[in-house]
Order: sequence, then structure tokens, then C-alpha cells
Amino acid sequence: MYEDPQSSDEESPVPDTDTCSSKELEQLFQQELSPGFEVAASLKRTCGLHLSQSCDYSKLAVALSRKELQVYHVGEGGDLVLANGSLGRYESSIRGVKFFNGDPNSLVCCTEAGDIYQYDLRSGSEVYRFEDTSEGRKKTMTSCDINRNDRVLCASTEVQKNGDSYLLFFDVRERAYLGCYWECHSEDITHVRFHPTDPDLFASASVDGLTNVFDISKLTEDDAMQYCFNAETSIDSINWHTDPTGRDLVACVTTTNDLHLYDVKSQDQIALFDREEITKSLRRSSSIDCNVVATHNDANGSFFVLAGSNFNRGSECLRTLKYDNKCLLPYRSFGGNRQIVRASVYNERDQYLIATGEAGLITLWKCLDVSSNPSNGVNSASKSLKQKLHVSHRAKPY
Amino acid sequence: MASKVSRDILYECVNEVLKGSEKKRRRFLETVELQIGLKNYDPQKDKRFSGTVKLKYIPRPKMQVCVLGDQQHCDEAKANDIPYMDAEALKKLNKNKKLVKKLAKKYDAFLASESLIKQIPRLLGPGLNKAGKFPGLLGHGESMVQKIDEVKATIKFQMKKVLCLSVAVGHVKMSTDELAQNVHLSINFLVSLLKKHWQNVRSLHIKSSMGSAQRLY
Repeated sequence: MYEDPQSSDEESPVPDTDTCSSKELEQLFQQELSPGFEVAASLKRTCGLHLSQSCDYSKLAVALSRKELQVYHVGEGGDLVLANGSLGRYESSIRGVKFFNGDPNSLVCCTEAGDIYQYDLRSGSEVYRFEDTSEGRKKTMTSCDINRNDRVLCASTEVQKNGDSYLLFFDVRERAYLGCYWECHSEDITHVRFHPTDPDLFASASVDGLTNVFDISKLTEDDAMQYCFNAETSIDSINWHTDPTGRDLVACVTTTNDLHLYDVKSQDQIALFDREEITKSLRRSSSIDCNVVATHNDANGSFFVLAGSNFNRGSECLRTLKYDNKCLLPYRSFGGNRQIVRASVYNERDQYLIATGEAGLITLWKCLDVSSNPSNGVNSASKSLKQKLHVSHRAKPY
Repeated sequence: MASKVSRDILYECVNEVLKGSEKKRRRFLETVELQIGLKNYDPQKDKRFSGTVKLKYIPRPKMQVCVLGDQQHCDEAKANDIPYMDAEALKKLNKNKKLVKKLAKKYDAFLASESLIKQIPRLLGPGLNKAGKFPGLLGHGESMVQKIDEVKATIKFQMKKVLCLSVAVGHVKMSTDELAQNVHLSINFLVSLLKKHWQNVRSLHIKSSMGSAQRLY
């Protein structure tokens, strides 16, 4: 809840800056000085809105604001190579993209118009289009996800003309519309997320402030609805995490860049970080420029928050904060970021962070442990590269 | 955050709105709305914005809040003349959709004790969800009356697909000072929600339900 934001009667806005020296920043945040790889999604102006990585981390799907879906190969060295141009171009905006959990060659993409396209990357073509025409007009979609065993597809919708917002379910194998939930939210549903291991559990989040957790093995919506968490403010996105004892947690990022964390079984809100606190943890001064992108599971069983600043088109700050026992601690700082980040994925196995955003760039950082051999780090790699260039330049006769 | 609406203009517009309602009195308490026109914002591309803010003065005094309470909260509600229901009363609804809908319609908002809020899906089903009236949490550390006032003073900014929105920030029986403060707070909060802050605001007006709009920006 927001009481009194920064307000001043001065003419010029207060610029967002770091609240400590660069030396202190280096001590607090592990510095990932420059991207391992960066590629522009298009020569034309566009914005990267959604990302999904395949289960073997070898492919990356990117949804652009110009209604185009691209797929990149992610090399072992972290290089990104566009695979055969656009996978799909649509009449309406892309609202979500998701690789299958068990098949690195299958993915789905949902559009605002109410279609979910399934692709097979081996043939590079669309293999099926899911749609719900059970009530005549297709419902405008906002996100989609597929369950653990790749059997059930769920799409969330905006509030339709009849005043209802829906969760639509499809059987992937049978290629059939299964039905919907329509009583659990009163506003646009912004995000759906299946549980990472339980194929029957999923959560939905909405502008109405509620995060609902469902068990879809139950017969009716009433019985399926297990828990409701009320953040009392619109939710932008959610993710599943676990605490050190293995208990399920749901993290909710609100539209005002706060983070709410719930323990699912006990239904307790175990932590709430508003954007002021997040800004403070990031060591930045302006909370109104704070941009919380997402939360990601970390290899060591915890999770972290990726956040930055919108100031100066996002180029000044992109950092992560590690969650540890109801606190957000400084974790990593990503140098060389050139945009306001809108979507991200984290490769836990290789510790790559991939982000895309408002400049249409797709950037990959290799996060290496401090404890590992420093000569393997990106920093020294780029240093030796610079030296090499310097030497060859010198050697050229003029 | 630089405010582009000077104190003079703000008070001038607020006074005009209040004067307007004085001149032509209506049979109901007119609400005062802040109307916002946006620019440089693409709903297809830009991040959705929406947020809640607590105002200093209650804009909707007639708002009815019902407490769904444990024993302690029910006693406190009774003592303060606040409508309440306990777990037994909720159980009696028997998850009947019509009764739950009726309950939802009767009140503008609900607050629930921690023990009860966790049982809402089981006791009532999704009826309150659908009505947009799922209860907020009522803790034991805070005063019930204060929490209710907080709920009554909270407004929500919500972006639809068009580049304009409006939100109720007060009513015509408020003083100039009170209304001006509410408007000022609302504008500052709105600007803090927008990525480009003032560069995303095209116009600002305030108006009473039946009165004419006064331009602030």
C-alpha cells in the first residue's frame, strides 16, 4: 500500500542514482561486468516482451511487440543464433510463450486474439492451433502455461464483454478444449503458472489482487480452488519457489513493483517487500523508477529477484537480490545492460541470465561463481581479447 | 518529484468544483473525480500500470465494510457498531451461491481475521472472488476502526485499454483543503506509477458528478 510517494515542488525531477560508492557496490554485489553475448532481435524498432527457454537450455523463444515470434539456439559458450527467421507472425499481440517441459522441440505461443499456436521446431512449422469458441467469440488472452507432464495447457483471459474473466484449459494430446474456470477472479487475469513438479497444481494472478491456487484434478472449480491470497493490489506476475525445507512458496510481483511472498500450505504471507524496500536493497535512490522484472530459482535451492531502474532507459542498473529468510540481500550486478528489461529467464545449470526489453535486444550474462577459476571468467576473457586487438593493431604497418 | 500542478491552480479548481456543487445542490452526495488523459503510452507494449493508494481523507464516507471475524474481532465489531459475521454464520450460508452473492452485494468491502480468511474458499466458494470483494486481512495488532478507515480511504488506479482513466478522490462536502490534499496525493501517486512520470500525462481534470470539469493540467 502506498502512502506518500516522493514529492517535491522543485522543477526538475530527482534523478535516480546509486546510494553508495562504486567501491561499496563492488563489495556488495558480485559484478558481472559485461554481457557474454548480445543480439538485436530486429533492425526495426521493437520490444522484447516474453521469453522461454527449452528444458535442455539449448533454445530460446522470444516474443516481440511487433507480433513476431523468434527462436534462437543457445550455444554452449552462451552465443545466441537466430534459427531460420521468424517462427510466427501474427495479427494480434503475443501474450505468452512457453516451451514444453519435457520436449525441447515443442512450444506454445498465445495471442491477444485468443489463439494458442503449437510449434514443432524440427519441422519449423505450426502443428496445431488451440482456440475456445465454445461461447462464440474468442476470449482475449493474457498469458498461458503448460503443466509439468505437458498434458494440460491453460490460458488466462481479460474481462470479457459479459464481465467475466476466464482460465481456459486444453488437452494437449487430444487437442481438445476441456473447459474453464470463470468465478475465481473479478478482473483481468494477468498470469498463470503451473507448479514445477506437481502436474495438478497451478496458480493464477489478477488485477483484482488475488492469487488463487488450484488443484485441477478436482471435478469442479469450487472444489479445485484450494487457496486465495489477497495482495490487495494488482498483480503483474507470479512464480513458484520452495523454502529451504521444501515447502511451496508463491512469489507475486505487483504492478507497483512490490514483492509478496506466500507459504502455500499455511497460507501465511511470509514476506512483503514494497518498492521502497526493494529500491533500498538495490542501493538506488528513486523508488518510482524501480522496475521489478521477475523472480527466478537459483541453483542452490533459493531464489532471487531481478530488478532494475527505468531511469536513463534502464542502462544504469540491473541487479539481483537473493531471498534469504525474509530478507533481500545484494547478489549480482549486471553491467552493460542497455535497456529497460521486460522479460528474463535463468539457466540454473550453466548460470546464464538472459534478458530482453524495450530496445529489442536479447542479452546473455554468464554468472560465474566467485570461487571458480577467475581466468575462466568473462572479465579476463574480454581483457585478453582487448589485448589481442591492441597487438594486431600495433603490428599493422601504416 | 516535481509537481506540474501549482498550488494556486489546484486550489482554484477545487474551489470551482465545490462552488459549482453549492450553486446547484443535488439530492445525493456528489463524488469528486480526478480525470486523467495519458500520452506516450502504448497499452499493447508498455507494462500494465495499476495501483492502490491511501488518501488522507475518506472519499467515500458511505462505504460499508463488514468484518468476518474470530471471537475477538466479532466482540470488537459489536462494541463499535460495525457489521460482522463469525465462522458459524458463514457456515450457515452452506456455500449457496445465491446467498453468497447476496452477502457480497450487501457490503462494499470485507475484512477478515487471519483464521477466517484462510477458510473463505472452503466456507463460501468463489462467490466473493467473483464479486471482487474477497476480504482484506484484519490483524490483531491494529485497531479495527482504523483499518476500516484505511479501507475507505484507499482508491485504485486502473488502466483499461484506452488512454484515459478516472478515479474518485473525494466528495463535495469536503473542505477545500481536504479535497486539495486528496487530489495532490492522487496526482503524485499516479505520476509515480507511470514509467515516464509527467511525460506520460497529457491532461488532468477534476469534476463533481454533475458539475463541469476543471482543468488542472
